[in-house]
Amino acid sequence: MGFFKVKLNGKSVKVRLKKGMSILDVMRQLGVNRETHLAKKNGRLVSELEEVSGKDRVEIFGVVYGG
Amino acid sequence: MAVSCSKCSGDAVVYLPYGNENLCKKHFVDSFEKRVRRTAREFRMIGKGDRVGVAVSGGKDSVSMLYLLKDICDSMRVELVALSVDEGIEGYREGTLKVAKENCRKLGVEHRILSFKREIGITVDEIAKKKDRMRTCSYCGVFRRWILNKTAREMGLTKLAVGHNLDDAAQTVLMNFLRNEPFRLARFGPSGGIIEHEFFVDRIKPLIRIPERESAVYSIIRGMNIKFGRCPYAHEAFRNEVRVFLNEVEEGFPGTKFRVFNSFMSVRDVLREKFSSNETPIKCKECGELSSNEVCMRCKMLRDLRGEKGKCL
Repeated sequence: MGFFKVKLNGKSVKVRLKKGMSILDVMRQLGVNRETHLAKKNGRLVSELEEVSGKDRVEIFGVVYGG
Repeated sequence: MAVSCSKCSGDAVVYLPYGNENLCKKHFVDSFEKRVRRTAREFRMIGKGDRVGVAVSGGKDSVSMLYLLKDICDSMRVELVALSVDEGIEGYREGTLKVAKENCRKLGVEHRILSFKREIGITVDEIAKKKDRMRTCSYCGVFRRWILNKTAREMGLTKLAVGHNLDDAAQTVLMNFLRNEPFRLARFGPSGGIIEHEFFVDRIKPLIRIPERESAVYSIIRGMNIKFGRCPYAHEAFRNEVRVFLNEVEEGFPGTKFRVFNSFMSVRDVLREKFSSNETPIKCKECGELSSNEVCMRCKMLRDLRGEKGKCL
């Protein structure tokens, strides 16, 4: 199904698009731990079970760093 | 289509894997605040007549705690003051102190900023440049606690609230096991202090049952304008290794952090009984603060950093 771009900590990265994929699937593809990251879809904070399509603007950002 | 909240038809903003729950803004905020209030009540963290100091670094945990404690203290007519410590970490601390300042102003809370340079005579950046030293975080933790306790006592505060969350607590429990330091674990907990003494201001940890990720969600929803950044020295700490390990286990086995903390809580009394110290703390002969030895850890560390044997600042 091709690729689409998401933002990971402000940087644009490519993700392989699959039908019915969720934010959690995106996180897994990127090797991101859901315990340490949150996600926004089209500017709105969302559950990582939310589905995404190639048209969505997805941002994943780290929030657990320590210190 | 958006995922719905498990409690209403609203759009979910967060998924809590350990409870298999999706929550909308309203239900998440309600749940978060309820849990913090319950913890504060359960461990009798705040009572009438208290004067509470809140240690506010400007990060998500401390600012979220400030919002909650402001509400709790207002409803109990208890005085609340915010204390921040500038450790002198260029490119990191200026930003978080700004957030602390803005949020204190927004809430109308008196805010006092203390600094390593003024109180200790050396910044964390300066410590990091020294050779033959321990990990930077070891000095930072000892010096920060020394400043906060001394200042809180001098200000007549009866409680000092720190933003330790569930992740911090689970890390502390594991770290003490991994280091074979059960006597340290015996002194750990949601409230109280290392020792009971008029010179020691009791610490309270209202967020101790809140996963760190959730205080980030709360801070975003409440518009606290938090910058999610990392202390440049955090990677040096042993704690960081434990943090990464726990987050990996939590991802595969949701609820692990709660279970680690709850396991500790169920044996805490036994640990306390076994490792309770009958030693009466003495005053450090150099700085006059409480110590279990003639010279306290803060003064020993300063000697070490200055390459001195008998003098302190």
